[in-house]
Amino acid sequence: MVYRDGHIDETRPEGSGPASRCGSVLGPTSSFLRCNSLAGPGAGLEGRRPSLGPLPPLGSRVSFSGLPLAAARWAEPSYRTEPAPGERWEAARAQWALEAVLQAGLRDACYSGAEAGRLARELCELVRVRLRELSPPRYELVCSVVLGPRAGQGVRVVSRALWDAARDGLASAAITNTSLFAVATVHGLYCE
Amino acid sequence: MAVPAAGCTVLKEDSTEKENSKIMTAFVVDEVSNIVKEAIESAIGGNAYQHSKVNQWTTNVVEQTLSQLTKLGKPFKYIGSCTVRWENKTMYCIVSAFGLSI
Repeated sequence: MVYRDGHIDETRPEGSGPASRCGSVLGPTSSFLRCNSLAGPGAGLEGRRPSLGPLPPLGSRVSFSGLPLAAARWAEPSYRTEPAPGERWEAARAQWALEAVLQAGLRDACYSGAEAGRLARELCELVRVRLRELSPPRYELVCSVVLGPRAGQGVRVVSRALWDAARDGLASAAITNTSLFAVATVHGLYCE
Repeated sequence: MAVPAAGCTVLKEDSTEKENSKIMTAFVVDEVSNIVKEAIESAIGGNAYQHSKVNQWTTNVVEQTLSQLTKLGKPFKYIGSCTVRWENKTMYCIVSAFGLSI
């Protein structure tokens, strides 16, 4: 297992920024590319969330965050257990892209309770689209954005993963301004 | 009838092998959310915020979640994350778990 901790604490003299995440305990905050599971082609969609029963038609589905889901795209298994040379996860490039997205999305933004939810979802979608363009093929992305006001509180964001340490990786970036802070994290997992 | 793996939901007597294998290789949201809730309760419980312990709490929650998910024995890679926000003695703890089939 590998891990990454981010700590922002405004209750101490040094440091910066508290947190409020609009996500919740259940479900993904962004959609991601899925490969065929081991159970076979027929079991793909139905086997994924049995606790919800049959899925509604594709056109009317919305993701947990309220944004419309793109049509699920299926990649045939490549049976390559290693990514091709030159197509590995590059954490530095991903982190640079995350910082750029956060700067662009939150430049001069001011925290407001009503808008924060929408802003966090849009940022997450921007992060996903940008990272999708940049990341190597056959990588699944899990993106998350924590956005909150700076109000004299502390926050800690921790993540752990059970993955293939040689092929998978993560990148994260945080920015703050006078009224808010944001932490964006993306995990890239190789899918053969 | 196939023997269900630990943590699986109870299977009906007349389930087909295909349905059994679907359940055993599916990410069952209710099952995982129970695991997450138990991890939070056992690591933090009803404690008030203590700054010296927050590191330990967050790592315990996530590591316990992941190890319980691993024990399910399903063919998934897992990502767990925990965000804790504190103010005076109150704490908010938000845990998310992602499962990606391999």
